Amino acid sequence: MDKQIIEQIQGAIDGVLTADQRRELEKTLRDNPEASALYQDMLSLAESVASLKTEQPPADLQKGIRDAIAARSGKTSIHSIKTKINHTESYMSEKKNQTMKIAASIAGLVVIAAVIVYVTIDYPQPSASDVAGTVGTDGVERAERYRQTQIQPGDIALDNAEVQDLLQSDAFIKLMETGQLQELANNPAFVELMSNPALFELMRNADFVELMHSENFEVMASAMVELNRSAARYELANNARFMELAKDVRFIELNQNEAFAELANQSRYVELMNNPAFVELNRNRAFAELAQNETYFELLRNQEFAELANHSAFAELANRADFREIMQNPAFSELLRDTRYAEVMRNTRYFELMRDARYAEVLREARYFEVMREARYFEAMRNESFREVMSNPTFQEVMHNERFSELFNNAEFARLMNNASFESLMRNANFERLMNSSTFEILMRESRFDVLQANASWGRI
Amino acid sequence: MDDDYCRALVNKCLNGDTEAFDELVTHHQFAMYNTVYRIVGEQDDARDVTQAGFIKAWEHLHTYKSEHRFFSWLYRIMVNEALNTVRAKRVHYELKLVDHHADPADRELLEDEQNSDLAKAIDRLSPDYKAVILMRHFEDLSYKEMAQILDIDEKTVKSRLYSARMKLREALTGRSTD
Amino acid sequence: MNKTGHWSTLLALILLPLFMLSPNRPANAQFQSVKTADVELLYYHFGHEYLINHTLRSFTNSLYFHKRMFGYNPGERVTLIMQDFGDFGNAGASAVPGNAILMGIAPFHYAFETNPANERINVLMNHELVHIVALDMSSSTDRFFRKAFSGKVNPEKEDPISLFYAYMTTPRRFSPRWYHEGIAEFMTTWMSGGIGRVMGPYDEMRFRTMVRDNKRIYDAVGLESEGTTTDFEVGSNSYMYGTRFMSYLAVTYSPQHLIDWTSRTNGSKRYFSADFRKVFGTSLHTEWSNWIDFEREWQEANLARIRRNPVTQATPLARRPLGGVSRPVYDKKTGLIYTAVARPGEISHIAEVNPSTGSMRRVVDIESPALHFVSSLAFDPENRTIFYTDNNNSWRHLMSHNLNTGKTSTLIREARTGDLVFNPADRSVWGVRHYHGIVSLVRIPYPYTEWNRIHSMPYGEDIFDIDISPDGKHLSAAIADVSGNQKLVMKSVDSLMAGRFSYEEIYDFEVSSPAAFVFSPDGRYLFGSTYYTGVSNIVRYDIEQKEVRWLTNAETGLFRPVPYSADSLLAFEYTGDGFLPVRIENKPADRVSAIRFLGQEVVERHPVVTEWMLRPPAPGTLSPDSIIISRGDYRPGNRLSLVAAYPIVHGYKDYVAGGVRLDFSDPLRLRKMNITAGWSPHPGLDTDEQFHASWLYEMSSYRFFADYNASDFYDLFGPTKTSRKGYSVGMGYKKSLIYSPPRIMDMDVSLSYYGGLERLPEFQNITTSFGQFFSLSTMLNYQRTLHSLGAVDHEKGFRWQLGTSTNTIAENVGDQRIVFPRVFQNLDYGIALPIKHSSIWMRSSVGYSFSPVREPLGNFYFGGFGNNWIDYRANRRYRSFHTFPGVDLNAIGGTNFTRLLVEWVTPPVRFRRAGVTSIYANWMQLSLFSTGIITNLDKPVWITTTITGDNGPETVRDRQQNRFYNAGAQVDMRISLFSIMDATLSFGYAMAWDYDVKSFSSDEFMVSLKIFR
Repeated sequence: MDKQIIEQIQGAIDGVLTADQRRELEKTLRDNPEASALYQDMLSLAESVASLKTEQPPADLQKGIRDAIAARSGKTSIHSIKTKINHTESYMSEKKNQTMKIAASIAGLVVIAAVIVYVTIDYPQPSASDVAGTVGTDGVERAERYRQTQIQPGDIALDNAEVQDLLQSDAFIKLMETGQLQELANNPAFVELMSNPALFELMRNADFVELMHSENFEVMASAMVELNRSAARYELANNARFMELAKDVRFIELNQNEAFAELANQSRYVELMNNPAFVELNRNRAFAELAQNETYFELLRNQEFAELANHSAFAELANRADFREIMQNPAFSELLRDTRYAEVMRNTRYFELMRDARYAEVLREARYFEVMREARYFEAMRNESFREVMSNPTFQEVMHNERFSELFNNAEFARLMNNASFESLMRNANFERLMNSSTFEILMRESRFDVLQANASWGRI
Repeated sequence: MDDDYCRALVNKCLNGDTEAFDELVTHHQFAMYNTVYRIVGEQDDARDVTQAGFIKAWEHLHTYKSEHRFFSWLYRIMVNEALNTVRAKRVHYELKLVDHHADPADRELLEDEQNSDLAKAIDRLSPDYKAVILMRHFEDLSYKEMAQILDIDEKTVKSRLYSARMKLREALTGRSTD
Repeated sequence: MNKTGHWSTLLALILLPLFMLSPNRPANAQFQSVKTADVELLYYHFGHEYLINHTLRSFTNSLYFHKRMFGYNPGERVTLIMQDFGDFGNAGASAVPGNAILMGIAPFHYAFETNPANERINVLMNHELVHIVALDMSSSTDRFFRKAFSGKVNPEKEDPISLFYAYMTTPRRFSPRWYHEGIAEFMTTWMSGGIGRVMGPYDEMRFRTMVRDNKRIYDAVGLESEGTTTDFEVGSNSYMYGTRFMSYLAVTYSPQHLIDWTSRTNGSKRYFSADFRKVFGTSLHTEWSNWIDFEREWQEANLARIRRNPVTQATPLARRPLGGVSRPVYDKKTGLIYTAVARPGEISHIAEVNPSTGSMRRVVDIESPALHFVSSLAFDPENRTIFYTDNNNSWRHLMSHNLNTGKTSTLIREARTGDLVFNPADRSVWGVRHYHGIVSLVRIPYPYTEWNRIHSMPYGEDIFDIDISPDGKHLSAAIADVSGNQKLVMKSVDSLMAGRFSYEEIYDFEVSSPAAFVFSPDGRYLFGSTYYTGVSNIVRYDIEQKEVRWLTNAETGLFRPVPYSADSLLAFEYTGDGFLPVRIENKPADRVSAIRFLGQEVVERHPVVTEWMLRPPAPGTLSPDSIIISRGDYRPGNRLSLVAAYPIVHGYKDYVAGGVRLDFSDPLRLRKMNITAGWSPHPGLDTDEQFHASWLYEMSSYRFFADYNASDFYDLFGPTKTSRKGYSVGMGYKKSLIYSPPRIMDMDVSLSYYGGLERLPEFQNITTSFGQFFSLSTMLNYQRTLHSLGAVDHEKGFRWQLGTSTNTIAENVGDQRIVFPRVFQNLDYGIALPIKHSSIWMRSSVGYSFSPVREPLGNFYFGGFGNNWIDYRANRRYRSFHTFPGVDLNAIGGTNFTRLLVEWVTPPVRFRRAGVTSIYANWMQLSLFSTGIITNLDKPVWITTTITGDNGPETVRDRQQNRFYNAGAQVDMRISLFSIMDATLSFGYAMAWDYDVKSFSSDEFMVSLKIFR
């Protein structure tokens, strides 16, 4: 039946025809039984649909709406935010879907138009008659073979074709064959971590990848594993000040100093470092210079010096400007009252340290003293692997990467470091190549782990 | 309730007057509930979806543009909520006939017999066809309003409406038009 | 074991299956199901999900077309199984007991343009749904019988009466393959806009060559009996002959006549050839011979068109055609050519051909050759190593064979890669991999232990027939798109390695395929073949001049060129018996003629077929979400339903029993159950033997069974009785350990409990000593047996079996448990004789029982051929170690034995036309055999004892050891019933002698009709 008649019939049913259009339709209905049958059917349909009974809304509907809105207006409960977000999200995703559909159909139209133009211009489609009897190039006859194009690329719409492209990659297949990925897919920590963009970004960091390949990483990984077992290290990793200081080259170099490590093991030194007076003293330039003075330490170790103080010799000493300057320093006097200071003065290692220029420099760092107040730092320093890690030059470079601290603040990563499969996965060349694939990131973030769990699916029936 | 009065109530709501919104709910709940009920097919679901629709309207009231009818704006939110629910559950709901008569003997059997066939035929329509039939025949919306609500052009509204009617015609009369 | 223990075991054996049956048993659902009103799509791998919506659209789009075209009203949903079990796409359809399509999603192969290149799922749905229509469409009488028998009855070999019911419910299933493939190919061609076998150049070449060589075109009977078995085209003949005959009928009558003939409507005849007469007004044989005359005229005309211009004269390089051939490789140093061949009567192998002498040498066997292209070859000239593929009909392995050392090795198992080519620049092998329906170009670096993906083509686009230039810089390839257009392209290897897949289009061959293009040794030219003129001719492309020139004007077809000198090329010429290696000149032909396609005649005489083009299954036409009803796990246990119920007739001892059989299965037939119940009214039977019942439940590797006074149809016909008084219940488990044909290894374990028996379950003539006992039997089977193209039996290889059978008495005697364990081994070894399809087999068996000599439950028994006059078990039973033709059944016993059978299987005789359409003989084969057996080797032959009888002392001799030998012959004749049922009629005769009693000799004559293959 003609399209125009159908349009008129529908218009009449929906009451949008003009008078002339209605008269024209009536004439058509008189001459065209099929159109008349269609008109009658649509008319009775409209009437019977309208006659379908309606229903009163439930009594408690309005009250439910009222309560919900009151709740929203008064206090923003987590639930309502979640619902709002969900709603917004769903509304947004609804909107996003809408725009995605429009964008996709425009793109589709452009592609189809391009293909049609390409095909019609460059390859003129031979009509059935053209095909028969054409002579090809230089005396080669072409056989007549009737043919119409039934299907075009645009007629085939596949779902998540880009994921299928990933499944074809040898890296992905080899990784799946190791079974590590499927095993880790059952580990909630891994699943959580893989939805963290920090890891992907870090894996694209050349230094980190280089670190992973160096044996140092072996050392670092085992050290970190051991270290993470200690609660102190775990807390320290979350201590912003420590992470800040850890980026200071001098602090790292200091940690390579045997003497410093030895000293840090002395509980008395720890106590002393909590003594504000000692801190004050250490900041005093004069004292710092004095600390460079070998004789001063020898002096301090000298039993007789204690006695000396009672003698004129000591007075003489006191006349020295720098000595006086120190003595006027309340911190120093307070320090002197501290037995621990004396004890430290007796420790030869301290003198060695005092001669280390870097120590003097670090002492000027306010953060240094803040860290020194951290008992956990000393506990960590007693761990040999920590010292090894801190002395690793690559580790120093990586410590400069924002993402590194963010990752080490990630509880999941800390827990995952205990997982042997994760260690071997991190060194798997294929895993490293895949981490550069955005599709892999999407697959991981979409947590399509049913595919990874279904290890059996990779086997043949 | 005419459109201008609706617009006034909306402005009051935007100024935090929840009573004004309550009045909007009173006026529109009958049409909205029935539309949702015909799409989702279950009374409990219909109540929840209608409530969720009104709450969403309250939360997005600031996006309502006064040049359009408040009814069309609200109707669009309700239809989308209902269609999303149906698609998520993808279960065919029986379009429930309204059965007020406690005693079956009182009903005119022939008429109900025809109504129940029509109800089943509407129910078997896909959600998009069902929405245009409900808007046209229950809410008497114009092609333009239907196009705004469904975010499609009027030509598509007409062709979708015609296809839906042909499916109903084929289901009820067995006659079809190629 | 005390009484209660005995009952509890019995109870456990009964309850176990019921537990297994319960729906909430935690089954691990391997298949996922997506259901619409018309189809239930089943898939098992996440990697196939991307095709689901496109498949649903293609299926639904195609089904609506067939509904309108044939007036088909499907009575049930179609089960569509998506799988990726092979590297090349195919599909199969069945309508009994339910409508099912098994679809392989892998790409097609395009060897010799035997397959269309347009989008394949759309093509497969168009083709397979024609099969469903032609099989499932029913008249009112068919529907009546379907209702009467609760479904479409599947012929079951245990109850051959089901054949009759199957014919009444789905009569068109009883038609030859060419009938079904012919109409399917005809419809698919026009639904795809003219792309298909009706317009197939290979089919034209096939018949043109037969007419040129004055070869016999098979008649309808000869086609099925000889044409699809001995010919090198084997099964594909059904497709070619069927399509050709249908196209002839369409031209001569009309396409609508074909629709009327294949639509099973009210008033149509049940049998396909009877309905032919009704529709066409003449007999099928008359019209088939008319077609043969038409075909001769048609091809004579095409040959005349070709001969208008000078025909290429090629010089043969071998004495006879090689059958199917792969792409050859040429060893410039030795001047020898290597190609994989598959020829009737020979085991497929890589052959070395000397072009100067025409001599051939077998290099290495190919265990699993592919039809048409056999295998894929590449060659490393430096190390004289051939790379090739095996396991070609499943997931291809990458193999290598070193010509210097003769060493063959499997480099990568299940590499799923072919189209191999060697890159001399870095010794890498490049290939085309098929995986999850996607085609990828891959590179396999030395030492060839792993592959790297270079590029994956979008779904629906294929890359094939690749080659690499001698300097390793360029790669040439044929590319096909979804519309079926094909072009020859060239790419830079460096840009490919850098991940850029841009290419230069050399020539667009449109719908004809640019086949097997290879670089010349100097890298200046590309040589290949194409059907541009309708005949496959060799073409040369000048890379610098960018010019294509035709070198040949062939009568039949020239393929797979290898440029081996400046002025000449090697190529393969198509003949009726396969491809013949020839030499041709490297000189452009002046004029090349085109032929006329029979399909072109159809479309010009009946343009209605142009309206049969199906609209594309585009996303806009149908939204899968609007038709999908449900998604979820496919749990076969929950889908068990009654599929057939029908009356049966059985034999019980020497009496007749009537009864009923119920068959249950799930749509995938992963779970099957049948229940039979019967009654023997004969007064000669005790009342407790008149009722018979049996139950069998099979689920994947498990089977559960129970019988009460088991009866059997075949007991009605012959000496061998399997019916037994008493009851039994048990379970069995069978598992395939290796399935890489021809290497197969499987194991089978079964545990049963017998009660109330008179005779032994395995040996009918031996009375049992105990009525209640358990029986545990195990069997481990490993075989590697090969047969050549067109063989009727295995022709070489070996088979080894190790079995145990232990009977344990249910009740202790005193406090002693009585157990009778038996162990036995069979070893068969076959040698293929130089005579075609003939071989010698030696079959040895040994066995030992840890039981007393006289204890029936602990003995082995031998005797007789064992075949019933009508039977369904193996027809060559003389090979089974329980038999001993010439003496009575179970006549020879012993607790240990050794047995040797030597058998000569003579070449089969093929019948061209012995019978009529509904019943004809295919082949006949004679086997001559001789067997020797010794039992109780550890005992003397005789034990003499003196006993005092009534008339005083007597010496009595008691036979302990048995030594017998026999000689016999058996003739087996394969008969085709109703075009789908293969039966074997066997005649056997044997004489047996007792080595220790010279006077004793006996003979046995056997006749047996084995129904079902």
